[in-house]
Amino acid sequence: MEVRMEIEAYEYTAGPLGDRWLNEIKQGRLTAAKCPSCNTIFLPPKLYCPKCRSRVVDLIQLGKGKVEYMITVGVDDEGKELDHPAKVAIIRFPNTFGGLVHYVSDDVEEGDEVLPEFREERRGSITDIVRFRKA
Amino acid sequence: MRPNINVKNRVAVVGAGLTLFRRRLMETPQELSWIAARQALDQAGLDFNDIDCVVSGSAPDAFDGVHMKGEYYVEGVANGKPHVRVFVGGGTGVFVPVAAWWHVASGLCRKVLVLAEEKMSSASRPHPQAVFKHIWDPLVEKPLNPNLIWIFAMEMHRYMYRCGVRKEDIALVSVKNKRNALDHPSAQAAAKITVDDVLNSEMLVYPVNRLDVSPVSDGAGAMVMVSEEWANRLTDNPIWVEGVGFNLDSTNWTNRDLGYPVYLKRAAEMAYRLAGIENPMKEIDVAEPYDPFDYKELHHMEGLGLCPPCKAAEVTKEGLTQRDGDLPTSPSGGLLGVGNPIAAAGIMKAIEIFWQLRGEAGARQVKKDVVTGLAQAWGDLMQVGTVVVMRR
Amino acid sequence: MTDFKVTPLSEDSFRNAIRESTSPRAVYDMAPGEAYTKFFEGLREGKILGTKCPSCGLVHVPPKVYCQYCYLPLTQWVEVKDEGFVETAVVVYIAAERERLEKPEVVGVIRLEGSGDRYRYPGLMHRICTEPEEVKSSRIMGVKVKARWATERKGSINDIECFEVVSWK
Repeated sequence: MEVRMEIEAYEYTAGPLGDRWLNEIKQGRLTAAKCPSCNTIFLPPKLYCPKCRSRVVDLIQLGKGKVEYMITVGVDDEGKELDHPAKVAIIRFPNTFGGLVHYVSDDVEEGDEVLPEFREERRGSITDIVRFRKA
Repeated sequence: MRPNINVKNRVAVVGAGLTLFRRRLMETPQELSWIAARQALDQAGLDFNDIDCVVSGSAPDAFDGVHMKGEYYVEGVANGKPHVRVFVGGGTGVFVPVAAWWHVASGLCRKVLVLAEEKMSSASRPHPQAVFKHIWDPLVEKPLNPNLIWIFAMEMHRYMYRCGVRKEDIALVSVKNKRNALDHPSAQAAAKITVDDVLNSEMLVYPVNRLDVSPVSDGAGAMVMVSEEWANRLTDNPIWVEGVGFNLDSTNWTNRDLGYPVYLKRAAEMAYRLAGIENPMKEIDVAEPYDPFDYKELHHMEGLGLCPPCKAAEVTKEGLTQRDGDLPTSPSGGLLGVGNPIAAAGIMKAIEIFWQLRGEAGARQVKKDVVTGLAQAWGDLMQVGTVVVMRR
Repeated sequence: MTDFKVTPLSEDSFRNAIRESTSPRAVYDMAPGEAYTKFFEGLREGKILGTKCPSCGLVHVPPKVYCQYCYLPLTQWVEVKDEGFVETAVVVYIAAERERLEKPEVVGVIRLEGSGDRYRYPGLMHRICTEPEEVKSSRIMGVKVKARWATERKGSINDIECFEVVSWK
């Protein structure tokens, strides 16, 4: 007997600091959160510090990131082969706790320094960044 | 059945916290959890680093829309600690302190953070209600295209018929609880309404009108529960968890009389035995029976033995369940008044008993002197009862 | 002290907030198992089948391969009369997704004959072909009803169109 999930769509809000962080991305700026209590800089931004668990209110501008690990993906989320294999990486930033998972351009290798490449039309989403490319 | 339970430590509640309950909150489930936990820890005079174990609870993943929700929402609260998430449907919110109790009572943990979170608004379209379509039997019930309210309406009508209770008698519960909630700082659905307002509100599924029902909500609540040794170190005013009870009836809800909640009677008997309560009508000073629907408070008062079967409507009509009555029920404002972020609503009821017994309920403080209180929740297909008994 | 405030969103502020959205596409395919398979085959033939517990005598409808009260395996199949009594009934004004129905529908629980005690019994949730007024006056409660079968049946709970009143009390 066939049964479908009846929720048409989930809509997730990002929280007060996450909302501001995504708005910064919408403006074409990549930022991270900074804890006022222990000064930890971290990604992705949340209301609480992952180290000392104090309340966090500030964002700071990020510079270049560095590719820590990278994989090449040949299939999509349903197992179909991609026309063009995609490179996905964990990107770290100097003195920053955490990081981002994102696509990187084909010429990027592990250890390379990278910068975000923003889309022309942005809505406030992590996908406003098309990919990270060599800095 | 006598529970064969070895209690090593007495268990006390030493702090509690609660976010606002609202139809939509901007904070993520992780942030709501962190805020409620932070509040409870502040009241207990502890920090995250002091906590040994975390026990949490939440309704189905399908509300928040993260299908490993337990591990997800405790990120800011439980990293590096033993954590378990418990789930017994709507009974979860009271089952969380029950499960936390055995973590401490057994001697396994000394300081436990107890957390319940719900963000129903993420299940945005068409309505969070749609998630409830998946609690039915997929083969013999779901093909009839049921709405969750069907089952409550069926139970309500059975209860009315069996006990000779009228809709206007039941509506008094909604009137009382929504009014009580006017004094609750977290309340979402507090209001000054009349019985006629309830009877004239939108008819959803007869006999259930819109104002017989609690709202859809986001919110989180937390408590800190510790061993006797730590309770005495941390506070002069610990509230002891003296009895816990939980019980399950069959999923086949169509095959038993819905007029009386047998599963709750059994859960209450377990809790009373542990707490040494012989006559709940005399010994329970204040109660938070689970009230997602107004008739449910009455149904549950009877299952809890707080009044004889079929007498709860009469007791309510006489005013005994008001804050200045002999048996104040839902002084918080309940789910009908404060709101119903499922698991968080259950823990809200346990927290209210904690505050009432501490004398910290402010404008909601009941008139009589209260020593023993009880919080209760219920869930799934009319089948789960969870009870916690606390003493000053 | 920590700042404990949270941020309520009105419908408008929610629409204006940054959001991510996903639509689940999962389709579940439920295997009915042994007991329900036979039950659905029975419905296709216009019969209500149940399993009887050798210990407590309760006939299980919908059928199970175990007795949920005695924990014994159930192997004895019995045909149950397609008649019973209205245990409870309600009038539905809203659809499963909350929008209002054009025409209200009566549904309820039918206590089937054959076994059971005051508390438990063989029972089915189904539509009841009667007027909303009969529910609101509670006149429908305890009344004898009988299944109205669909002419074309395919082995589903919907092979019964509804339960109809046999005789008013």
